[in-house]
Amino acid sequence: MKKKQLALAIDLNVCVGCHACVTSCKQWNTSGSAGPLADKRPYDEDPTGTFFNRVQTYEVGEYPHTQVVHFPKSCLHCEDPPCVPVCPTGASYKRKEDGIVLVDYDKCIGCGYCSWACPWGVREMDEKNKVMTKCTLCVDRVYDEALPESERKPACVLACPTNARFFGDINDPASEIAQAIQENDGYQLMPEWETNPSNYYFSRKNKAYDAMTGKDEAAS
Amino acid sequence: MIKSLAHEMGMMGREHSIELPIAWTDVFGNEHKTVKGNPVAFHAMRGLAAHSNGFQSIRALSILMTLLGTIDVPGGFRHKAPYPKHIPPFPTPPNHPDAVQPNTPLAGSPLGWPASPDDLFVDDEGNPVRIDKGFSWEHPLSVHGLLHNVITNAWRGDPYHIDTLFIFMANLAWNSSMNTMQTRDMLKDKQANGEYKIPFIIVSDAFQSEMVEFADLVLPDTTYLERHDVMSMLDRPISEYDGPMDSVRIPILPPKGECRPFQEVIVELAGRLKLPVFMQADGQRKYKNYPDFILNYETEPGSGIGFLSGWRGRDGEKSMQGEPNPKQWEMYEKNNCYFHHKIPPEHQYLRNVNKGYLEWAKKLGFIKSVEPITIQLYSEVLQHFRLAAQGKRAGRKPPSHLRKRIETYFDPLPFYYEPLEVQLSDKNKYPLNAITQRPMAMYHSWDSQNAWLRQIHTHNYLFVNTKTASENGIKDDDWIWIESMHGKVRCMCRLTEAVEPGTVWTWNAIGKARGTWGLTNRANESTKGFLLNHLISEELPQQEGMGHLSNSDPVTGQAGWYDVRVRIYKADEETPKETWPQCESPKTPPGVKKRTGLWQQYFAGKGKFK
Amino acid sequence: MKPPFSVIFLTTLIGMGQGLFLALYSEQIYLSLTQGEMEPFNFFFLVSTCIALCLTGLGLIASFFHLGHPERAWRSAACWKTSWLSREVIALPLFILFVFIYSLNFFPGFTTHILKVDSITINLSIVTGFLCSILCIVLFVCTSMIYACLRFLQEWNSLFTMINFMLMGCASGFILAATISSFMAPLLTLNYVVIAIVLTILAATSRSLSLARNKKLRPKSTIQSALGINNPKIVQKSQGAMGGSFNTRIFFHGKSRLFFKSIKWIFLTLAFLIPIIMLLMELENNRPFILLFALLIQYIGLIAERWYFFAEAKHPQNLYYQAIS
Repeated sequence: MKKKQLALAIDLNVCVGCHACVTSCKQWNTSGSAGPLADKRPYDEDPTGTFFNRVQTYEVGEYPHTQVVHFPKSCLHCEDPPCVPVCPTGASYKRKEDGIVLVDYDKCIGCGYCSWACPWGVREMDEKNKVMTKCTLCVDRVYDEALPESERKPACVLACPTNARFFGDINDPASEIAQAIQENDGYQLMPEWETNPSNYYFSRKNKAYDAMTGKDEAAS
Repeated sequence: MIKSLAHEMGMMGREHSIELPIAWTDVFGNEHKTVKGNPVAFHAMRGLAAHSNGFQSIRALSILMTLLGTIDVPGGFRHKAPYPKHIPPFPTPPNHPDAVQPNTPLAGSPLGWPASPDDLFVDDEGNPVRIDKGFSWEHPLSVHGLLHNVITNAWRGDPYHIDTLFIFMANLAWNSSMNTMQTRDMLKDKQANGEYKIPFIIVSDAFQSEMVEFADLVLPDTTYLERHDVMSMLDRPISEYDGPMDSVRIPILPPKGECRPFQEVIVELAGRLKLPVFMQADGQRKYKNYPDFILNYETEPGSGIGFLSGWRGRDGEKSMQGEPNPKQWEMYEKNNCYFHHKIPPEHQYLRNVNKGYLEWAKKLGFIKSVEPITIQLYSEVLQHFRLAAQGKRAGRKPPSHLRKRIETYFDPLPFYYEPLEVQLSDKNKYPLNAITQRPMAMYHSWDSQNAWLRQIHTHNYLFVNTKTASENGIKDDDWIWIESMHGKVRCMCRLTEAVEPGTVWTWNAIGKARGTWGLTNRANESTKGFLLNHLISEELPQQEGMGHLSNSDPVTGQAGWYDVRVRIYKADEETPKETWPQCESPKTPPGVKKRTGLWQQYFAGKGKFK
Repeated sequence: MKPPFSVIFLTTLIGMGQGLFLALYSEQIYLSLTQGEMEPFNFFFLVSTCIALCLTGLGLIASFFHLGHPERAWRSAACWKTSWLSREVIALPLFILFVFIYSLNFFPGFTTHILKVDSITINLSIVTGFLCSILCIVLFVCTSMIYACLRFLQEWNSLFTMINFMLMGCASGFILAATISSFMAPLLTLNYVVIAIVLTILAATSRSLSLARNKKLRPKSTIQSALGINNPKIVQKSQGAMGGSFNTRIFFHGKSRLFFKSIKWIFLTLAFLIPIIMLLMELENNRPFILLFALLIQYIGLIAERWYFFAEAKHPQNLYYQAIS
């Protein structure tokens, strides 16, 4: 029986790049134990700030066959996180009970070494508070009994208007996320580094449309 | 491409039609056991309407959908209450200058749907009565008005001068206007005797927009967080396909300083002007404030139809129709601020000819009679105007210089024509189309200059197809000029494979004037952000004997924002790395504090910024 | 990576201090093996070990400036089981402590550095010096492994990183020893100069080999593996923020290609070529100020080398931060 590993799955088929997950994450986390998340020069030139989740945009292919892919990126909560063993103080740690990787702000000395060890660039040093910050999988929501059960999910998952984000225990075959990963051939990012990221992505394809127009029969 | 789309639509209709086991009765009395439909739906959104051939284009699409059998059927294009409505819907606008008398309220609605030349708002010579020339022979069916021409018309005194310009929220000194720099000049232009051509300007806005600096009087508005609002069935509700839905906003913060919700100002003004709807018989005001007005207003005394459809009746037990409920706001608040009425399945489809639906809709005042709502493949309304232009119809006739135009464009069957401005453009010199779109991350919140959203969209680029750019000697990140026959703009270029080679585009709503919106003078929005509006004219190039024509659809007066033709070329190495044109930073209005802190950390619930 | 100046100073200064110590201790071993007298050189050894302490001490202080919360720096020894940074944080103060103990042997009046147990004579300075040497090697290993253990930074992930740190630290330490001795103990200078030449040549060779290795590296990560999209043409249009972020400030040097390339030639010249030439000239001469000059030039070169070491490391996260719009 594999250990519980909470994680996200992101469906690139339906992400429209609206950034609702970006702003809901920022709002939730700046106002809780993982915050505040500072902004610098907020109303001035080149405003910048700390965010746990970013949505990027890529163009794949060439006109007229271009696909515009919107790509949300946040900590992948690796099964074998390279950012944990390098931390000198133990501030960077992976929880045994659910596999969430967190930063203990009280221990963090702000050396930045863990971010060097992350190939995906999902850790951000908060320049004002001088500690490393990153996605917490809203651990403070997931276990908050004061919230209705349907809301004990990361803020980004609740905010997504196209249901592009899944959350749950990827090692529980009965969970919605594990089944979605199965059905959609979910994949990991940069598998070459063998850290076994827990977040999965679903690639661009349109099974229903292909089925309807007979394209899948042509392919298979 | 078009052939394969057509094939797909046809196949969908023929081989994948949906039949639901829902019994229904049509308006002719026939009973049907099922509802059948062809699941093809397409939605023409705002972009098509931004062309001066938009109306006929969208009409063509709607006829295509009609022929495909997809109107209000399962999987097809389904209506949302209060639609469908008879064509044309009621009411009609005033149709003669006599309808407007000093110190007298209008007898009807200022807006409406003209059904023939008799319904145009023109004088005996056929000249427009409205300042924007709406409902005139120039663009008869201009139900949305022509905001983009108001300032130019007022400045020119055509059709007449005005003494007060009252602007609510529309940022006409920047992105809501075409020909922005000249519009800004017109707002402060003076007559020979030293008087302003537009003597008094009132602006109501929640933010320090570019328009605010031109105001003689500012009525500071609140944001939606501080006021009551309704998305009402009487205006633009948020209905679903399966039934009417409306919603409200309930304030969660008190207004700041002297800000007042604009609807409160309107209710107050209505009271001071003694508009009949707002007065009791004894001359006392009928409504205390906006929430009171929303609760208690009825379309007719005792009609039971008001702004909000949910929890009507003394105890909130009625839906859609019922006496005003004094606790209606509280009911909405308890129910997530919205109300949704699900129409029974037997009334949900083919509502144009669905007996039960039509009877119900009439009861609620959506329509005036229980008659089939016939889709006009051949438009009688348009034909009325064409016949008038051809001299084959009794009654009003268009001025001679507009006859040919009306005869051409009021074709009762849809047809394609080149947009009006394009017909008058040098397409070789200006080979490219230029359009804009709103960024999703800040679609409805772009005014607030939210510190987080600013980081996502700080300035904008002109997106150019890679091949088009290279043909013009332009590389990624280059400073370039984009030029139309009306003007030019300097900006940065971003190459893309995701647009066709003949079109360039940029994000709306990002480029700002220096020092406005509470941003510093160095903000990227003004130094690196830009508007396309400077390239677009609110009027068509002048033609002999045609007068000043709006750059709009000749049928609906919808502004031709996307008709402009442009060319691009690289800027010299010596030119400053800044967008052009630039504006002088306005003086800080009294009482407004500039926010210039280096750091900001927002922590909800603390009641203040850290 | 963006070269952090505090780390550049601390690693070069500490490295030089370590090299200086090894120069002193190796000279001490040589003297005792050749039956030479330490006595005349006590003052030189005292001053030099103090300089070594200053360099490593300054380095230790400089390391605090790299931290967001220096007041918690004491916590950084906690994870020595997994983190090379933790191990370095233990090894450095230990090394400093032991070098201090070693330096006591050369204080005037501290004559009893000879211990006689039965018939065995134990020279305390040799013993403490030996322990310091072990710690010195350990410190070189820990410091270099901080970088070399990061397999994602392919330019760093090789034995060369450790070898180069050691050789450059030792070369600069030996030139420093030569310089000090040419002022205070000229009889020892020739030895130091010879070893310094050898070490600098070895360092130049090793560093050039690592440059050649890095040139041939093929990045393990591509934009395709970063996104999991199998298309040869993928171009980023937006990285999600337009005013920069932590990820655009720390992981890329931000200079032009020309600047970057020139630093390589600058360090090869200043850290290796010129010092070797100057040292060769001094084999015959022993002019203190020339040696000092050679030391300063090499140090500037080493700063440039360390800058280049950081700048040449291409972090895979940069794939995600290419464009804004």
